[in-house]
Amino acid sequence: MTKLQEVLTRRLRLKQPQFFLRKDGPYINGSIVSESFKGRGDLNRQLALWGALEAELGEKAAKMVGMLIAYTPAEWDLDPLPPSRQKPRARVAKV
Amino acid sequence: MRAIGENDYRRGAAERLAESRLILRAGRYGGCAYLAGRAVEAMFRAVIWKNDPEIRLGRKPLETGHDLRQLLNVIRNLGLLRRPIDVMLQVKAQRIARLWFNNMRFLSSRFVESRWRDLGEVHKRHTMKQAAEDFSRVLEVVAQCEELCQ
Repeated sequence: MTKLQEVLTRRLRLKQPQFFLRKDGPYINGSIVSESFKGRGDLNRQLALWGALEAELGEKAAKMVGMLIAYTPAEWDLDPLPPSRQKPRARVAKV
Repeated sequence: MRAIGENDYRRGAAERLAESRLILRAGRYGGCAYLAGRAVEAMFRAVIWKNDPEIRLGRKPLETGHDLRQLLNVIRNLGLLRRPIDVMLQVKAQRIARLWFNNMRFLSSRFVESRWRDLGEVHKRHTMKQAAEDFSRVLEVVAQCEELCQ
């Protein structure tokens, strides 16, 4: 996972990225939060993420990574109200 | 009492979608986006029910509440949204995760519009009406996505 973070940060020149990644079975899934995604559309973000991974890891990327979602900090904190449940939100653990 | 299963969730999704279209035609954009999100929730629940035997057999609770982002995480962690399956589905999933929030249910259309404006979704050349129409179209595609239920 550290390798994945390093590759994405370097290749996409991410500003102050936060990674919320988790390994589920053979795949790493998770979310990446960075101001660098601001102004980029959904397709553009996915192409950028996968472009970076494939450029660095080749075919291994699709075998290693399941799904990544890219957020800006504002999108990550979109919901203005606290969750109504008492339990903490089950978001993936910060790595 | 009969337990709720995949088909119940899928039927619910279809009904919420139909209601969402009616609300859109009435110009109630916040409600339309919210309700289309509920349709996606029902579809996600159907997918999880089908693909996670622990949930299906009631051995494990689904601790996501009604939050689409959390449900999407569960589906993602089941390995059902891997890139080779469908790139565009991942793009749509990302759009939903970015723009939909559970507490839309309590908030006015104006509030939702203001949030979306902050995110650049609503601007001079892309009105709230257009943004809501686009977003509901994405939700509609995902809520009807048979691919996830194969």
